[in-house]
Amino acid sequence: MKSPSRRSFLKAGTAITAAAAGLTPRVAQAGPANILSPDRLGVLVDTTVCIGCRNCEWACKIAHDMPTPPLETYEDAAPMQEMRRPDETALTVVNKYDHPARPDLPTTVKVQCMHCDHPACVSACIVGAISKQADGAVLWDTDMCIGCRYCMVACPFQIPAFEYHKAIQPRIMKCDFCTDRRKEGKLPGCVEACPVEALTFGPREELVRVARDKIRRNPDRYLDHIYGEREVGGTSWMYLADRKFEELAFPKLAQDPAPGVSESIQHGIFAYFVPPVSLYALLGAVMWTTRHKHDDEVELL
Amino acid sequence: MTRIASVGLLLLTAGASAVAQARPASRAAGASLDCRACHTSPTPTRNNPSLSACPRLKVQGYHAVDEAPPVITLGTPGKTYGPVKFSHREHAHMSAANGCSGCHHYDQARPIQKCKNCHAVSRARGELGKPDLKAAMHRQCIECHREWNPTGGCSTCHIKEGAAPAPARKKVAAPERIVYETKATQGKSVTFFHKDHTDRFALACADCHVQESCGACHDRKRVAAAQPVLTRQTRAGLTEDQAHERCANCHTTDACGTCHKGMPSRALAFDHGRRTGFTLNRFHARLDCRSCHKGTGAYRSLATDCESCHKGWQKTFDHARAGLQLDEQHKDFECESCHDDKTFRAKPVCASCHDDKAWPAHKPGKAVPRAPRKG
Repeated sequence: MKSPSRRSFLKAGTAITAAAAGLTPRVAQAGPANILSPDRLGVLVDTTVCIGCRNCEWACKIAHDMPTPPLETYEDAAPMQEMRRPDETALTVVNKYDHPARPDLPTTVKVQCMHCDHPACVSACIVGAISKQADGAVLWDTDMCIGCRYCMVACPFQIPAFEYHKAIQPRIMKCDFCTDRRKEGKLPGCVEACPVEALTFGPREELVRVARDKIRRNPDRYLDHIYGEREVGGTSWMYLADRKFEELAFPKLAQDPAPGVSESIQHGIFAYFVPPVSLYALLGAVMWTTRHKHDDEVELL
Repeated sequence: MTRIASVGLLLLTAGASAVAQARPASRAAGASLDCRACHTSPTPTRNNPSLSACPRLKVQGYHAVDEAPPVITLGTPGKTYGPVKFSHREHAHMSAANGCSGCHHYDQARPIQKCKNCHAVSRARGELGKPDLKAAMHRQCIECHREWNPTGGCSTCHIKEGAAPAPARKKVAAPERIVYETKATQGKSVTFFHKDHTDRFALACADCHVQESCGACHDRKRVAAAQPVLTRQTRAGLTEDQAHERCANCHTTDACGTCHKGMPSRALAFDHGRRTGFTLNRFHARLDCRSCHKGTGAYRSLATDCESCHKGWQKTFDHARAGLQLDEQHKDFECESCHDDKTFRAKPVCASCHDDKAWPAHKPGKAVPRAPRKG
């Protein structure tokens, strides 16, 4: 038999603590109050349509006033030779993966913040600097951030980046779903720039319908899997592909929200402050009852 | 979407039937047309209509390819790239473009619809199921161009301001023969006389090469000089039907010996009825092709009424040879009185004179044995 892991030990400990406090562990409900709107937005990325032109990378930098090389330089596919991750200078990148059936035409995949419905970064942030918006976006607030970088560790997609080179006010950098542009009534920069509309922007529920319809009508073209529909409890950005997502460097994730377990432990321990108060009350009572014993011992000495 | 697709398929089928019968008035007859006459698969879809590659059953568009606009300017000048000067007619001639239907899907039997009638101009829109205008047009071009030139970027089509346009592609050199190394038990090597077929039947590339990748003809790896004989291996894992698909578009596959030398059957393998709409009767089937398609050039389609070949036959025709001796009342009638179609294939009609009679329950004479053919 396997020896109990640290996780199962902690789980058991939590359950006992919570039971002692007369509470039920709420593993399923992650994060604070559920503010997800049924109309929340998302993007469906069709990797079978993407041509790897990297116009989205260019448009992203323009949209965020970052230093941007001229558009023509993006015709050079050389940067895609190596696997890249979004960093503090590029909030989205396109990677390529050789296609087994077509040596000349690799699969190209845009990577950016997935804007999880139950974000681990929001859960991990100890000061509430990252928040999930009703419209689906996961946003970072420069005024509240203390630079602990817990969000970077928590993210199952390894997305948040940090401006390590800046001594003063370094920022956490990640896709902000072009919230400023959308307030002006514009589309996210990458979605607007995509020449083939491999990125479809719209209400998430509608996108799931569209994706299902695509799979139903073209069963030969698509794998019957919408990545992000259920992974870590659902993400705002979702992907379609003609091959296994693991081959495209997507992490294989369960359907439970990432913060589910950790939050139930933390929230259980501190729920309504009853367990800590009970614990200190118990300790106080022990001290109180043993107080005179100690006095006697001191006198004897 | 499904409804539009099915309407489109219906129109395609109707269009095909109209061509097959060379008479647009009989379009309604399309309802009874066998789907397999145009589609090679029982379940054609929008992306894979699996149209049969028969030249004579080709779906005709609203106008001939040669009447298409020669050049269309797409888009407006941007900061980096100029608009696209799209050689529209040249593209329509290409095999992969498959005439008008390669791009103008669904309904080409009527005046061509503007793309933006269906594909929204704005990307921010309600109906997300189909791509917006910009994406729809890009996808049409990119699907072939990426395959043809994987490293070519935007400037392949969007010529930069002031730059010279891309050089024209070299002409495709068609092979003289293609030898297929097949998996047949006998007659493994099947030679397809490519040049013979194109010359004799006056075929353009796109008549047979439909929905094919550009690379199949514009082979980037093939040397520029024409290779007169190409050798092709039959791909592994094909069913018998799939392996014969190309040839079966025009030939019957039960006459193995015609292609696989050494196999027994040597009968005529060309399926005349399916390909031309004119099924050969037992007499016509015995004839040499040149008995009807006279001359030495390409075979031309002939009128299907008997009179066009058998001049004045009606004056001397003895009806008993067709297996019915006409009685006294009927024998002096004009043929058209009973046979209202020119090919004499339809059921004769009694109703123009008799309210209560119908073929074959009532016969206008006596059934006799069919006369054997003279000579």
